[in-house]
Amino acid sequence: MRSFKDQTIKTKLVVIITFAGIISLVAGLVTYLVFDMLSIKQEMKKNAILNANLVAQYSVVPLLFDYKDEARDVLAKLDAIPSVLDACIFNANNEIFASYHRNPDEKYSFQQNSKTKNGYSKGFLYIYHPVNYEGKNFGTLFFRISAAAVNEKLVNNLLVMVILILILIFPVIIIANRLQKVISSPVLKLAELTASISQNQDFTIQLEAQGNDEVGILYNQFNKMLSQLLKWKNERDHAEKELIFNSDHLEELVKMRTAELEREKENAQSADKLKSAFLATMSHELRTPLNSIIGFTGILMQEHPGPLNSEQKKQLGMAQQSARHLLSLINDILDISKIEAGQLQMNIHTFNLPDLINKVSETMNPFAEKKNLRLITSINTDIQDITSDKLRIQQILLNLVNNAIKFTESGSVSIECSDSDQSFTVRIIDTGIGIEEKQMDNLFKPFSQIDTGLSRKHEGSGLGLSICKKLLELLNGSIEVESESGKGSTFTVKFPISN
Amino acid sequence: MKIQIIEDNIQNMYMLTYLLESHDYTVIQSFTGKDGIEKARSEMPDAILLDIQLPEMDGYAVARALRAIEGLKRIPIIAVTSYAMTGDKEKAFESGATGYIEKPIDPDTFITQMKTYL
Repeated sequence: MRSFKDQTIKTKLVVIITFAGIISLVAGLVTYLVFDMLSIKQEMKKNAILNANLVAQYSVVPLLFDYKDEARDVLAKLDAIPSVLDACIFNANNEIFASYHRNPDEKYSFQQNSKTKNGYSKGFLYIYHPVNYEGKNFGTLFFRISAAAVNEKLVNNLLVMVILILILIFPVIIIANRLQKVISSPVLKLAELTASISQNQDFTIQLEAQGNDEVGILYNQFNKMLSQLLKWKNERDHAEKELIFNSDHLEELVKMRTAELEREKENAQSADKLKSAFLATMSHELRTPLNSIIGFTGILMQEHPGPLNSEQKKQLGMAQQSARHLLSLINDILDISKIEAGQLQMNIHTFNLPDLINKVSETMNPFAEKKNLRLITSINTDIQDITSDKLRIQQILLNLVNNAIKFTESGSVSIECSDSDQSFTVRIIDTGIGIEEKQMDNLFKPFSQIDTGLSRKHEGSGLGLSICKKLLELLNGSIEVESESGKGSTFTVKFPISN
Repeated sequence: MKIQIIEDNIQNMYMLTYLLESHDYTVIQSFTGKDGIEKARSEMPDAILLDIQLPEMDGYAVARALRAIEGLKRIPIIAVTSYAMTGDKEKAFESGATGYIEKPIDPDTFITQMKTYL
């Protein structure tokens, strides 16, 4: 069974009101009963005294003249008053003069004692009345009266009270039920509303104003709270909307920006294509006249059209050299442009690396000899065949060896070849001018031939090392340089045995 | 042996003609692709040196057209071109060329190079 605490507020109120109603009803009835009983007892005593007074008047003569029979007759008249059980007359000497017993079987023994005060005791009323005549006392009259009527009346009254309570409890409950609504219904309404608000998130509802009691105050506070919540909710909704708007807008912005970037990318790509096409055309346009320059100088130097004197041959040779240099410049520019446009494709196949290195050495040897340099080649590897782009590897090595010879005035240029961990390492070591530290950083960037003062002496596009680096990147290799200014440089090239 | 040269540059044409004639070849000259196709049909050369970068009709188109002519289906067509962009060589072979010589040509080795394709 649920404890009182867990009962609904309605039940609690009904119980409280009913309980209070019954308590006051009982209190009222008990008070009435007590007063009723007291007044009955008072009345009974008064009647008894009146009767005693009457009997006392009749008893004066028999006492005065000592007529005991006469006295007995007087007392026998008490038969008419059923409540008087026993009676007796004491003479002035306190001796029993005459007595009366309603029930002869239960004879009450009269005792004359000093106690002469009228009163109730143990369900009986005792009356002591003096028998006086002309201010002179002749004796005392005594009554013993049954108080059963009082008890009967009490029982009757109690019964009436219980019946009354039983009858009244229903209207009390009905009234309590009505009355509890005054308090419980606004509370219940509040509870219902709170539930519906928390469910529907609708803060626009306001409670109807109540009186100025605690419930009224509660309602006012609740309305204030609702207004505050509504304000907050509106603020939050507003912020949320703004946020959604911003995020939508952001998406749009991102889309716009992406589209812009895509357009730019497309433009850049088409620019790249234009650049490539331009380079192809330029290359052709530049090569076409160069073709006939190189061709005709070659034919002339073969002395097909006729014999040449030594000066003519020398000058033609210089023209041919310049033409070839121009060609290498054009090739370099085309190479770097193609690499940067991502159009250079590697032509991968298997070839013999020591053979290639020997070929490079043979090709470059005449140039070294011309400057009285020793070109030393040492191949310290058992690996013969590698898979890579032969022409590009050759191009890289030729470039590096050519550079080494170009920047070395005395001593030697060494090509050292070794392998480790599935990759080849080729070192080109010279005893040349070396590279200053501040020039190291820019060494592999396009158009950055070291020392502008030397560039007149050492011709070249300044693209060679940059091309080497980019080609090696395409071949999954690398290039590094160590150098000490004035003592020489070492270029270390690494590339995988198999690509 | 009759060799046709299709080349738009007058200097290059002169140089190639000089080289071939000095090695006792008979030369047929064409300065455009269109003329090249017409002359090839009428003269039936033994081999053709074909420049790729030609005005109007490029070398690839010329090569395809030449291969369509009865009697020219098996003769050597050698593309002579500046090695410019990746894929030029492959494109030339796809179009019907059987040889490829890079420009600028080297007069010392050109004839030897050409002979390997004949």
